[in-house]
Amino acid sequence: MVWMSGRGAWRALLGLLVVGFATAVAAAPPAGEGFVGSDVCAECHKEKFQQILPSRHGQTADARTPFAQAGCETCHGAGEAHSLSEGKERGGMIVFGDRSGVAPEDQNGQCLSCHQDTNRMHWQGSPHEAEDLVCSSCHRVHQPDGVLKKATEADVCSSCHWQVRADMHKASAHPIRNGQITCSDCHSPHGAAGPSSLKALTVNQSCYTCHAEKRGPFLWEHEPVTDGCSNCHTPHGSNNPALLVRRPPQLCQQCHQLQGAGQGRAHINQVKELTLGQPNNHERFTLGGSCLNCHSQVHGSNHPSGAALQR
Amino acid sequence: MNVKLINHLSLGMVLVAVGSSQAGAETPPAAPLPATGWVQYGLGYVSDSSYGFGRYNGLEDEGIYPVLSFETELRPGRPDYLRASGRNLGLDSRSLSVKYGHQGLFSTFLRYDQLPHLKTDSAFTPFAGVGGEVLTDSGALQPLSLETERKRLAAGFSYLLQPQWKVNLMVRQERKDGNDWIGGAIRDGGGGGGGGMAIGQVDSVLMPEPIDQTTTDFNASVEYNGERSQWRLGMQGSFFDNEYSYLRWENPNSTYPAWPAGDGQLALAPDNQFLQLALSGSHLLTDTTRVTGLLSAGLMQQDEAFLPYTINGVSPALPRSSLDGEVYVYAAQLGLSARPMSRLRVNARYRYDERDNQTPQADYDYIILDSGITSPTTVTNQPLSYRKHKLTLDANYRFSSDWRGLLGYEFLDSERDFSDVEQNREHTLKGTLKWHARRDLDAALRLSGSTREASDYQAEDPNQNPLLRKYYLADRDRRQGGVMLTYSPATTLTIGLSADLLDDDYPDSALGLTEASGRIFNVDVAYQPVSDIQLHAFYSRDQMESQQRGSNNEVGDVYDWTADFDDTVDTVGLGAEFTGLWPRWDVGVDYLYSQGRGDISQATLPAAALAPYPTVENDLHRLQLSAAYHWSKTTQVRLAAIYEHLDATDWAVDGVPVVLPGGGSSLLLGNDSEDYDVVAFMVAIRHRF
Repeated sequence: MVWMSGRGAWRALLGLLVVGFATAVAAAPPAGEGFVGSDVCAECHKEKFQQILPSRHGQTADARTPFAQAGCETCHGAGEAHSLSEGKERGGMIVFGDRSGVAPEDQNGQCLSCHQDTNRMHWQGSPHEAEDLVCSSCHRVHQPDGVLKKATEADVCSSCHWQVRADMHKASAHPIRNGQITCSDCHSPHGAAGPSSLKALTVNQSCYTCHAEKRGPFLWEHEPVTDGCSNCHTPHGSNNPALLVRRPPQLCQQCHQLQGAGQGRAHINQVKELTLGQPNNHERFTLGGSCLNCHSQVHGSNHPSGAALQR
Repeated sequence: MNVKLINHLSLGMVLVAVGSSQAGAETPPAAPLPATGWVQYGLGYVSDSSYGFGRYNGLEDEGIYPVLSFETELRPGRPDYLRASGRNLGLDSRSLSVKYGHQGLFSTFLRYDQLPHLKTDSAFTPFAGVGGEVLTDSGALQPLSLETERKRLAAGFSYLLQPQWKVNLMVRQERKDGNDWIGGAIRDGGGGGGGGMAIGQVDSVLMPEPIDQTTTDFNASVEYNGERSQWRLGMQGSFFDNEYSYLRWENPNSTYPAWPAGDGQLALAPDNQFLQLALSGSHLLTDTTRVTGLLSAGLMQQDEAFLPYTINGVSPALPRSSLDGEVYVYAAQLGLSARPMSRLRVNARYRYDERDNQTPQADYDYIILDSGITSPTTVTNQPLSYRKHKLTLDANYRFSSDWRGLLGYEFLDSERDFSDVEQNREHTLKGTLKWHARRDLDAALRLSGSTREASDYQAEDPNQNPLLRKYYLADRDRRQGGVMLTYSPATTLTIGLSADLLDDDYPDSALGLTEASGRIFNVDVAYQPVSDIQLHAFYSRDQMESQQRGSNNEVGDVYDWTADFDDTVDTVGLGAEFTGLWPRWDVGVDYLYSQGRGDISQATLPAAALAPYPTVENDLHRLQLSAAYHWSKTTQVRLAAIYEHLDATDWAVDGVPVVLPGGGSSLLLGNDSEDYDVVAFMVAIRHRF
C-alpha cells in the first residue's frame, strides 16, 4: 500500500485541517499532571468559556495570556479531580470571589502571577489588601469589566465606599456622578506611594493635576494651602461652596484673630452677624464671597503689594 | 466512507494530537475577528433651561439635543486590536477615545474630553469688557453668566521592549476658558497719606475673571517588570500658561457713586512649571516578604514679571523684576511587607516629604490697594518650607478562620519654616477586629486615637492674638471609631450597616477651632430575588459639627464669642432593574434624594445668643426611568426619562442685591441659588454588531 500518494497526502492534510480547526479554537492542551484542557471545562461551563475567548485573556497570540498557556486551568488550577467528580468536588481548584472559601492571598496570587507589575507593586500592605479584598471583588474576567470603564467605575467603587456615593450628590462636588471624573483619576485601588492611595505623591500634587493655577510658587503664600489642600477642602463633596469643610467668614476666623487697635483689624475679629442694613455693616463680610470679596487671592498672590492676598 | 479517506482522517487526528501537545507559545496567530460593539443614536429633549441641571453635563438649554455614543472593538489581526468609544458626542460634555495596539507588544491611545462647568446665569455686573483683562464702567448693570469649559486632549503609547522592559509616554494638553468671579478691593477715598486707612474705607466689587488657561503635562517612564522585582523610572512635567496676567478695572462709580474715580489692578495666576523625577521599585526578598522604595525630586518654578505696585500715580521701584520662585519637593519612602507566619502579616513604612522653598526673599513696599498710599512698613515675603517624617507600622493577625485583628501605629513629625509652629508630632494608635460570625454575617470594629502636639506656639504675625491656635497646627486629640455589619441571609440578599464617629478636641486652643465631630451612618441593601430582578436601596447620614471661639476684644483676652457649625446631609437611594421580565423589555427605575442642611449659630459672652444664620438648604430629587426594547438580537430601542428637582437656599446669595443696603460699600453678583425643575427625555436606537 502506498502510504501517502499525492492525492492521499492532500486528503491527510484535509483531515488534519478539519480536526485541527476544532481544537485550534480551544486553549492549549494540558500543561501538567492533573490538567484536563479547556475543552473539558467548556463541556459544562460553556457560557464562561465563550465569554472569555474574545477577551484579552483569550488572545492566544499573546504568550502572556492564560489561553496561550494552559487555558482555564492557568488561573483556576488543574481540573482533573473536579472533572472526574463531575463537578461535585473542587479538587483544589481556585474559585474566585469574596465567598469562595479560597484564601484571598491564594486568589490574588493567581492574578498577580501575571499582573504583578509596577502598577501593583504597592498591593502588599495597601488598604484594600488589608481588608482582604480579592481581585474579583472589583474586576470581572468572564464578563465586561465595569470598573475599567469610566462611566461605570464609580458605581463599582461606591458599592463599598458608601460615603463617597453620598458625597458625590452634595451641593458642591466634583463631577463624579456624571462619569466625567472617576475614582482612578486620583486614586490607585491597587495601592500607591501617595497618601490615601493617591497616584500622585502628595495631596497637593494630586489637586494640581487639574488645578495647576494654584501651584505657584507665589510671592505671597498662604500656609494652609502649601501645607495641604485638605486643610480647607474636602475632595468628594461638601454642603459648603467650593468643596470647603466650613464656610467663610468663620472658616477664616478659625486661623485669623488679631490684637491691637487700628488698621481696621476689628473686621477680622468680630463675630459676624447676618443682619442687613445694620450700622456695623457686616453683610459685606458674610454675603457673596465673604472674606473673598476683598481677599480673593486666598491660594496665594504674585502681586508685589499682595501680602494681604487682596491683589 | 471511503477506507482510504478514513485512514487519512485518522492520520490527520494523530498529527493534530502530536501537534497540539507541542503548542503553547507557538500557537499560530488566530484569524481576524469582525468588529464588535454598539452604536447608539437618537434624540433627547430638555424641558427647561437651567445652569444647575446642566452644571457638568452640557444639558443647560431647553430643547432638543442629539444622542450619539458608541463602543467598538476590532481585531484586524489578533492580537492587534483597535478600540474606540465615544460618549455624549452631541453635547458639550463629550468624550472620545481611540486605542490601538498589538497585545503583548505595544499600545497607543488618543483621548479627547470636554468638561463644562456652569456656575450661574443669573448674575449681574456693572462692567463692560467681560471676558478680557480690562473692565470698564458700563454705566449700568449687565446680565452676567459665569461658566468655564475644559477641553483636554491626551495621547500616549506603551511599548514592550522585551518581555520585562516597557517604555511609556503620555502627553496631555488642557485648555480651560470662560469666566469665573473674583473679588477686587477698592479704596473708597477716606484717610490721608501716611498709610493709615480704616477698614471702612475698603470696599469691594465682585468681577468677572477672564479664564484662558492652558496646562500641558507629560509623563515618560521606563519600567522593569521581573518575576521578583519591579522598577519604574519616570519623569513628569506640567506647564501652566495663563493668557491673562492681570485684571484691571475702572471703579464702577455709576453703580456706586461714593467711590472715587480711579482704576484698580490685581494679579491673576502666574505661569508656572513643574518637573519631577521619580524612581520607585519593589522587590520580593522571599516569597512572603516584599520591600518597596521610592525616591523623587521635583522643582516648581514661577518667574512671571511683576506688576507694578500701583497703576495710580508713580509706582515705587520694585526690589526685583520677578520672583524667580523655586520650590524643590522631595519624597523618599521605604516599605516592608511580610508574612512571617501564615496567620500574621506585618507592614512597616517610612516616608519623608520635603518642600524646600528656595524663592529669594526681598522687602516689598505695601501699597494699600491701588490707592497710591504707601504703608510706612515694608513686607518681606516668606518662602514656606516643610519637612515631614512619617512612620507607619501595622500587624494583621488571623486568630482563627473567624477572627482577624489589626493593630497599627503611626508617627508623624512635621517641621515648618516661617510658621507659627516649628514642629508638630502626632502619634496614632489604631486597631481593628473582624469577626466572621456566621456564614452569612460579618462584623468589624475599628478604633483609633491620635494625639498631636505642637512645639511652642510663636505667631509669625506679631499682631495675632496670642491665644489663637491655627487648627492645622494646634495640639489635637482625635478619637475615631466605627462598626460595620454585613448580613447575607441568602445569596440573593446582602444588607450592610456602618456607623463611624470622629471627635477632634483642640485642648490648647483658647481661640480658633476648639472642637469638631463627625457622625456617619450608612445602610445598604442589595437584593436579587430572581435572576431577572435586581433591587437596591441605601440610606446615608453624614453630620459634621464644629465649635470655634473668637475675641472681639482684640486685646489678648479670653474669648467673647462662639460659633457652632452643623452640616447634615441625608441621602436616600432606591433602584430596581428588570431584565427580560416582560418579553423583550428591560426596565430600570432609580430614585435618589439628597437633603443637605447647614446651620451656623453664634453667641456672644456674657451669654447672648445672636440670631442664627438662616439654614443653608440643598434638596435634590432625581428620578430616572429607563427601558430597552429588544427589537431584534442586534437592535434595541432605548428610552430614558430623568426628572431632577433642586431646591437650594443659600443666605450668602439668595435675595442679595448687587448693591448692599444699609451703607452699601460692596457690589456683589446679585445671583440666586440654581433651583430647577427639569425633565429630560431620550429616545435612541442601539445597534449591536
